[in-house]
Amino acid sequence: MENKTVIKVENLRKWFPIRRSFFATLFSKEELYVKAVDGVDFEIKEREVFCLAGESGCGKTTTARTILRLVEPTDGKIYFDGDDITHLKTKELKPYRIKMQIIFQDPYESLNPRLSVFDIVSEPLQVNKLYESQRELKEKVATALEEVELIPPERFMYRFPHELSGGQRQRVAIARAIITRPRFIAADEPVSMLDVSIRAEILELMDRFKREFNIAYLYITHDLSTARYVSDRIGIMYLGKIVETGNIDKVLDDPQHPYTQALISAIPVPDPTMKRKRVILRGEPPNPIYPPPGCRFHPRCPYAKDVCKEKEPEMVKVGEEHYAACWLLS
Amino acid sequence: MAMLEVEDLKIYYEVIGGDVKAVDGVYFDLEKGEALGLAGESGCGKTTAALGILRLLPSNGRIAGGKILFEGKDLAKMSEESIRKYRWKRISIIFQGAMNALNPVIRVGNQIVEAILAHENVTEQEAWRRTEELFEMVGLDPERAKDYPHELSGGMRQRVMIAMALACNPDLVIADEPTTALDVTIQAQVLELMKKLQKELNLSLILITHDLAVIAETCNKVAIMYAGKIAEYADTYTIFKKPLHPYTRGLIKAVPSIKGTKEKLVAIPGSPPDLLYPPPGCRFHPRCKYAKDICKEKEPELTEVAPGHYASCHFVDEMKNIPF
Repeated sequence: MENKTVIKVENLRKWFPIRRSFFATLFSKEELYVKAVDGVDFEIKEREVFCLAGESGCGKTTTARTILRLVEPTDGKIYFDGDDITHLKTKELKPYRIKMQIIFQDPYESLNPRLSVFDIVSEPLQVNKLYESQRELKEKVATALEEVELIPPERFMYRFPHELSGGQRQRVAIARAIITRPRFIAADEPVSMLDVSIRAEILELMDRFKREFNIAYLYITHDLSTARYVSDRIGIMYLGKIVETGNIDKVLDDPQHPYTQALISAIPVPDPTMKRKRVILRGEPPNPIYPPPGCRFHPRCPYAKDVCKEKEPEMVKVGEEHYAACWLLS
Repeated sequence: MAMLEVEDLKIYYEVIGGDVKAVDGVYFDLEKGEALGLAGESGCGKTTAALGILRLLPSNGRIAGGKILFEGKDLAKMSEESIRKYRWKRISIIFQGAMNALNPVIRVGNQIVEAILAHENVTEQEAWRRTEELFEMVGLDPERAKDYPHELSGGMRQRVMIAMALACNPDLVIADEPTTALDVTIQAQVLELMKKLQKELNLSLILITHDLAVIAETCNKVAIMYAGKIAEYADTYTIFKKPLHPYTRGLIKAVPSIKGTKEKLVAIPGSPPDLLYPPPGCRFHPRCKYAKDICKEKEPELTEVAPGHYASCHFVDEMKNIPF
């Protein structure tokens, strides 16, 4: 059976305007923007984890927030189950909002310290009036807590976030996300604040919901090692654009774009016997207000040619389920 | 005799309700030119141990026992006056998140010059010359010494911190999570730099991190800490390939790797204990799948199971027969 496409984005852009002083506007008409997301395309199917990976500031979080319409897109299209939701008004968006949820990075900050676990987990139901009686509400919260293995739920329901460990807090955040039975969850670095020894449990929990509830995940991370274990497909972002995308194993085992190659070689490996040749990148990612012309990666690329400085490369097929945008490949 | 020998170090924090035994019997030693990785989860006491070596503990913390022998002299019992001669000149530290601790209204060069002038008997001009040398050494343009911290990127600020740590030619550098806030490509640059400097200057290094992969690539030996104690201590190869302590095994199985076969990640159930009320017996027993009755009652000692390989587990001999 073919899995249905849940999320599809086409040429998505999010430019944040820069506020300038009155004087600056007098002397120059030029409007300045931080081009956080600058032309991104991908789709995510049911029971699929699509990972957006890249360094800080590459626009991966902004992409997720734009898809959820937490920030307004500048250009491009967002489809949810085939419906165009790019410009829906708040009211029209509401039925879709129930089906889309987000898990944030830091469970110490994403949970309101003055609300009990019950209040936190039941909030999506209360906001959307998805319950008939108080009893039903309580039952639903209890089920959600059981599903995230906070057992017995009665013991956790009336606790406050400060009484929970980091792993338990992230479970509460996941319970809040799954209680509306969403079709799509954006997980923004869900385990990067947690200790290594408990990361695997949280990732496993997410994987179970993927299979049980047919959820489509957008997994956002800077950590390619965890991405490798949970994702089906991946998009590598650099300065607002996806530079390489495809099947996770193909991209990570046989990276084609020089940026992906450098990124992978920079990741330390927990095995002292493995000696690798390392590509050390020069410099740091450029300023997204003035992205370099041509290929955005060319100032740091060890293989840059003249054409890279002038023209932006197109995404080309480099193998089965594997695409990259680089002049070396076309 | 090793350059640094830490023996049975105990550091307690006084809080309402008792003492938090953040470090409770820690042993390790370090030769000149060696790199030791101090690894463990948050709250296991690794940062406290490092602060203790330099006696930089917060006011409610105290060294409750043990020895810190640096070239045979016990830093733990030294007067405040004498230890000041060791700080920065002999032993320097790169604090966690230090790149954000630079004073925002003073040029970065001046901040290094200040450190040099405080410890060495030199003129300001000489201190500036030294600062420019240090900038070259860490791969920064000496011109950038005149910049303010906000004009530098995260990676550059971390290089400034490394330059500052090397300002007075120390013998030992303690680096507390030096690359945690950096992106991987920048982390690779900084780690490469630290490895290079360590070799060139024959530095000893204590690298504190929760990231075992960073340790695998930079350190000669590793001490794995759990709840204020050393669980296992050996050379890097042994820790990663032939670990004996169930905690070390669990930790290594939980770390994802970008290379090699994709084995299932296994979490360690539960979470680390509250150090105000540590569990009796072996502190790891509530999370250990091999725990027996004795583990709940008697605390295991750190014993040498093979030359240079120490572990604290009652069932170390049995663990040898359980394949990793």
